[in-house]
Amino acid sequence: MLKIVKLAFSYMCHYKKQTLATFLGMVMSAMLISGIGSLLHSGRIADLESARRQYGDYHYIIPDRTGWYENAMKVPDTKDYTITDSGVITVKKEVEEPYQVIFCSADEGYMKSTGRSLIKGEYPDKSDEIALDYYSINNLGVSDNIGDNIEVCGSIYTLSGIISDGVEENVQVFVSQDITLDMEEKFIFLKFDEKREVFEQFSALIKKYEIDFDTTKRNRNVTAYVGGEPTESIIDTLKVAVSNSNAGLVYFLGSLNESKELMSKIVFLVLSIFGAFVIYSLFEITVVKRTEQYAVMQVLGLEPKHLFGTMFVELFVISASGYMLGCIAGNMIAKLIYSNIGTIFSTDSNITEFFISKSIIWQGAVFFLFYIIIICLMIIRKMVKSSDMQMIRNNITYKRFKRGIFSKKSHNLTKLLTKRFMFGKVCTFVGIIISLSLGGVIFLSTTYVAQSTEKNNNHAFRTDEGLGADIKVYIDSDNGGYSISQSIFDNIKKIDGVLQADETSYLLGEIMLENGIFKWKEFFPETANDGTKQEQRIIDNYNGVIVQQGEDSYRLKVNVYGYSDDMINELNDYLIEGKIDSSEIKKSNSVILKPLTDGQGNIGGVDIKPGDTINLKVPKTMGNPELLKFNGIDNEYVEKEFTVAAVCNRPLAKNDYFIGDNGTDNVDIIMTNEQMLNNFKVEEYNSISVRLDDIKKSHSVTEKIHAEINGLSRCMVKEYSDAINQRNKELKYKVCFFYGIAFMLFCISVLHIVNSMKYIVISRRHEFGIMRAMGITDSGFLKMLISEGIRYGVFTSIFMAALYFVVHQIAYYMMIKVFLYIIAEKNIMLLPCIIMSAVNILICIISVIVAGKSILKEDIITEIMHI
Amino acid sequence: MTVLEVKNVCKVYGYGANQVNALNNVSLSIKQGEFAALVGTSGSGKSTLLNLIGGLDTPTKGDIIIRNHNIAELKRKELAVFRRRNIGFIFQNYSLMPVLNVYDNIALPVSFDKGKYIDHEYIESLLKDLGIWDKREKYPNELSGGQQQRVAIARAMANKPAVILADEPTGNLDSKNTVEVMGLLKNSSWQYNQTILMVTHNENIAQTCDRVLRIEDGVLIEGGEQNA
Repeated sequence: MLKIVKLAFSYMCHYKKQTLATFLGMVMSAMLISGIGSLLHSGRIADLESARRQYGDYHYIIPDRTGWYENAMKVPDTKDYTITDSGVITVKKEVEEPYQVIFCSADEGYMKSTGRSLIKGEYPDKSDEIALDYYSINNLGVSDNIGDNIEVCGSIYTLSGIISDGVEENVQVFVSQDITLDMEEKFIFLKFDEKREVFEQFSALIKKYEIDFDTTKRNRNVTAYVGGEPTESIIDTLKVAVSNSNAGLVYFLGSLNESKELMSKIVFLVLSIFGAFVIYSLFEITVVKRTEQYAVMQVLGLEPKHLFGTMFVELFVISASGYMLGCIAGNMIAKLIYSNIGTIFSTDSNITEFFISKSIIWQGAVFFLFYIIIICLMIIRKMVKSSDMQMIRNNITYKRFKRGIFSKKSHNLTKLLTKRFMFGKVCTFVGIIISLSLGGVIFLSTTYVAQSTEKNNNHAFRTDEGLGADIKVYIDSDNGGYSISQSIFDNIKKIDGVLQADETSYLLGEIMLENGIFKWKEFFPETANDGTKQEQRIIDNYNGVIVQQGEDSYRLKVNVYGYSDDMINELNDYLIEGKIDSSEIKKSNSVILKPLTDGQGNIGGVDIKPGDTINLKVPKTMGNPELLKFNGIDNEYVEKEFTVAAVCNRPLAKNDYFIGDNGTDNVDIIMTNEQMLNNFKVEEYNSISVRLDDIKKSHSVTEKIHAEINGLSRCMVKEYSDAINQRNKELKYKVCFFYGIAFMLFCISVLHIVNSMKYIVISRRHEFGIMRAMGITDSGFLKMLISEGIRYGVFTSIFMAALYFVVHQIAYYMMIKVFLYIIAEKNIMLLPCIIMSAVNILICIISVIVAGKSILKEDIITEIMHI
Repeated sequence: MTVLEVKNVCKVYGYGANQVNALNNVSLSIKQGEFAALVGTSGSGKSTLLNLIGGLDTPTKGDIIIRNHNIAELKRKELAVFRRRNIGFIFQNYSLMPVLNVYDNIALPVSFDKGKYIDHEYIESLLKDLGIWDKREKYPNELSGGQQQRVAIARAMANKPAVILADEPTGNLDSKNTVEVMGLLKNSSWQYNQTILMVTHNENIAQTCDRVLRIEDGVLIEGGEQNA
């Protein structure tokens, strides 16, 4: 054993360049894997901590209608579950007018669970005392001085304290625990032991106390990270994916991404495969160079197992040291990156701590350990298949070429020679082409994902995240009677610092879906027939979202938006089909349709295309709640037929009230405000999006807007400037990071290509020596090599383009269906592909020239001696 | 007519204490159509001399004149072209291109000269004379050692060189093939008036040649200048 180790070390010392190349390959692979692994891991932890801070530390909210909480807390630690924290909020009164105001009392546990605290003053102790958060203070327009008397919902209270803002977008008035008001509805905020399966603990608790699952709520932003989401085994997931035609791969991948780790798993897998290719090709070159020596050793009595030992020890020592150094260097660089631009890995803007992903390091180590065993076994197998003499002579068996005398057809035998050297060993050729093109494919794919992510983030930014405006003025109510007048809108536009203000009007409407237009029966609880129930509020207020009229006839509630012309034209960024031009839409009185979008990004739920007509019915007045159920007599509604001009995948300004609008689950009909006025006499607005000329003016403009809307019922103002600023910065960093990774992969790829091409040239030095002896000139020799380099470059580029096409389709599919990108570039990016192909060819040419020149430096006799 | 002339050639390897005088003042000349054998023990300098004549190495001192060109004075590119047109090599291990068939292997050195006509009639006659015409479409790995060496001989002659340098051409062959290859070389020398300088350590084989040059410790001790 000691002798084997000594032999392995002797080889390492003797073949310094190859040892160094393999070592560097491993260092770079480990740097990428561990560095990116730790960055993603740190980002994930930061996201979790951010989610805890933002949404609270609790896992579930469970109503306490049966008094189960008291019993449960008698023994919070059982074999089935461990409750580590809990809090109670008691809703004592709900007021709808003029604002939606909730009077509630909360215990310390609630404050801790939700991450809220008393900023100033005291928690209310007396019946006339209240505590508010700043969101409520601003929207109620009351004083924030402790001890001041303030009026809330027609009553005078003393402000005893100020509580930090919560997530809820409603006005919360904290009152004394002991006060008795209209109701006493308790909600329990629970946190389970995160070292155990959180969802299993939760399931055990609700089972024990016979709590209806549907009445509970998850803190999804936290539970997604700690195993608090309902899960099923991979086998079960696979079964569903295979058996259910609607599920498929997307369902499977989506399930894998439940814990938000799919991306890091994919990154780990891709980098590992790439690293594996690089290590294999580097080490194979090392071994090929000494095949003859191994053969001699075999002749002298060394058994294959001894050779395996020698190779394994050598590769293990190189890989282990390279892996360790790579992990250290990768994590150091990652820490540096994280401390400077950590926000690109996390939605949390207050990133401080960097966490090393030990699991990735271990997984990587195990992967490479098994991998080097496999490499050694493969090489030994290859050797065992050859005879000792074949190995000593380093005989290469070429494929059978076709008969026929080439020199009678063409004078260029060197061309034939290089071609046959290339294609003589098909497996080797294919292996080289694959390994050469892999770096380019990963580089192109990373660039593609980076570009699509940038584009998607910009789009999501304006729609899903609602960050399309610096300030949003909106009606915080599902009472259609409230609105913002034209004069207020005009005044807001005139405020100093307002660059642009876009007004949105709103109506709740209904369209008829007949003759099989409605495809997704399972989409809405009303039509699914699977036991799911529509929200009671939706049923009570709007008679559900969809109502079946006849056998294949449905009435679907839709959000009807009136946008400014600029907003209409901006929808071009979200266009799926058709044409969007505000002036043409006005002229033809057509509309834009935003269809249903399922969890896999499909939009075929309602089969309406550009050119189709829809019959839109809206109430004459939104102020009458009864009309919003669409059960009234016909003359209380206006019904008009519109042609669909275009289909887009997101609305810009949404109305979260009435039937709600998360951008995907409802059908939206969008037209211009002018059309809303002409068709439905809608003169006032539901929201105004304000863009500023200078982000620094945000607070002053907000104050002035508050002054303008003073007294306007249910009208709220929200600033987004800081959030926009932060997200812009994050997006910039994120894209830079992606490109940085792509660049590093490119560097590794270049190292790999240079090394492989050098090997290809050097492995034929005997033949080249003969040719030089026969009188090929240096320039002729280099020309021959250059043509080979070009050919390798071209084949690599062709294979790269083909492979990239496949990867592109997969990446597109994943982005749209699994990661639910709003938009991703569907077409192949030709320019990067062409540039990368040119770079491939150039690198191959330069590599063969460098290798060729090294051969030309050697004297011919030495070259001929290399058999 | 003298085709090859070696004048006072010395070859020194290494420096100082490690200096080795591989060749010491070697002079010889060979006439057109002559088949000469260069014999000597291992390490005597015969291969070194052959490499110098072939322009694969440069002499430390002295001149090597082939067809009135002093190859020591030729530039790198000129030397390559000169070698291609004037010198044919036959190696002990045949050194054929494994991916070319017999015919294309023979045509290969001619194809290095852009625009130079490949004399297919000449190649055909060579192949027929060497008895491998029926093997012309075979690849080296489909041939025996003797057949491969015949291909190597044909390749060396393809450019009608001034001189063929054969380094132990029968070293890898059995006695039957050795006799055959030597017969072919002699026949080629006679038929095509081809000058051949063959290195061998086999005295019997050397004796079948027109002339024997004997080298010992880098010094030509027999058959050198005096026979010119």
